Amino acid sequence: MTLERAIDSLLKLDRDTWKCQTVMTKTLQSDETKPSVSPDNISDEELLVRFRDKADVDSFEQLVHRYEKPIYTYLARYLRNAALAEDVFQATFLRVFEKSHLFTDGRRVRPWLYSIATHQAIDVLRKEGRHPSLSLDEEHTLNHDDVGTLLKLVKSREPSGFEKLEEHERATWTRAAVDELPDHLRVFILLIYFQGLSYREAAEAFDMPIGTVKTRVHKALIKLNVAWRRDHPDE
Amino acid sequence: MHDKLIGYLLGALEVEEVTHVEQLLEADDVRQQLELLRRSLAPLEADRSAAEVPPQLAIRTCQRIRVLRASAT
Repeated sequence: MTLERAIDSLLKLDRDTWKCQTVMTKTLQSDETKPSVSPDNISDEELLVRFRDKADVDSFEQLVHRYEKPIYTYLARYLRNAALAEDVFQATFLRVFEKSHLFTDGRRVRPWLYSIATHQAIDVLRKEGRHPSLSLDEEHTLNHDDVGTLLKLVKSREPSGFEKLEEHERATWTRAAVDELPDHLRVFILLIYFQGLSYREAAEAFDMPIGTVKTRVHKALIKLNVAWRRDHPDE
Repeated sequence: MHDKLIGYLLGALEVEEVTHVEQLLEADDVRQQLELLRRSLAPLEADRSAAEVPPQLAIRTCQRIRVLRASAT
């Protein structure tokens, strides 16, 4: 069986079956346990290079543990589906395992991982008939009308308007409003606002000019504030 | 400048850019602009809760990869 076929087959394994296998085979490590060879003060880049150049699997596993929470929570938000997020998380690190030779010196691991995770997620969504796009087909610079629009929107709103809602109402509204954003804008809100990537890291992840990333974040904020006005006209 | 201020509010700037923005913020009008732009993030701030990670996800992922390696050789 080729490695690719093996991956496909395993990805199709029933999740519960997999969990049973996991429990039976081990108990390998507790949640807190990290591979012992790689202490936390080693950079992500060094871990990946150790794995790439010396086949040091402990270093690879350290990276999986480091990024368990950030990559999973990102995928859960992006895919809006916990089960799919779990599958894509695993597919992401399988991909990293197989393609570490494509990681070039001088790159940063964090944007590279988010790039792989996003592309894996897009593949899954396409298979499901959704067609997200991270297209570059738009202007790369922020125009002054956009800035003006955003300032006008916030100037006309009471600073405390949003706080008038109950906490869960606000969270529900926010989730729905972010979900309504076109994918090519939403992904940057998720990466930058929720995952804490810098503009530069987000640009690096998708091989885009930083100006494009800024424009998209700005446009996303305008859309969110327009949606706020639409849904809360009295505030 | 507005894109820098938004980047500052988002925490999306590099260290040297943060220093530059902090110098700009010594001016009253820039601070006012920053406060206005801060409101533009309000629609996002309500949903900072992260999804709970499934139990032992990293461990299961590593284990799956070990199985794949073994089956491929």
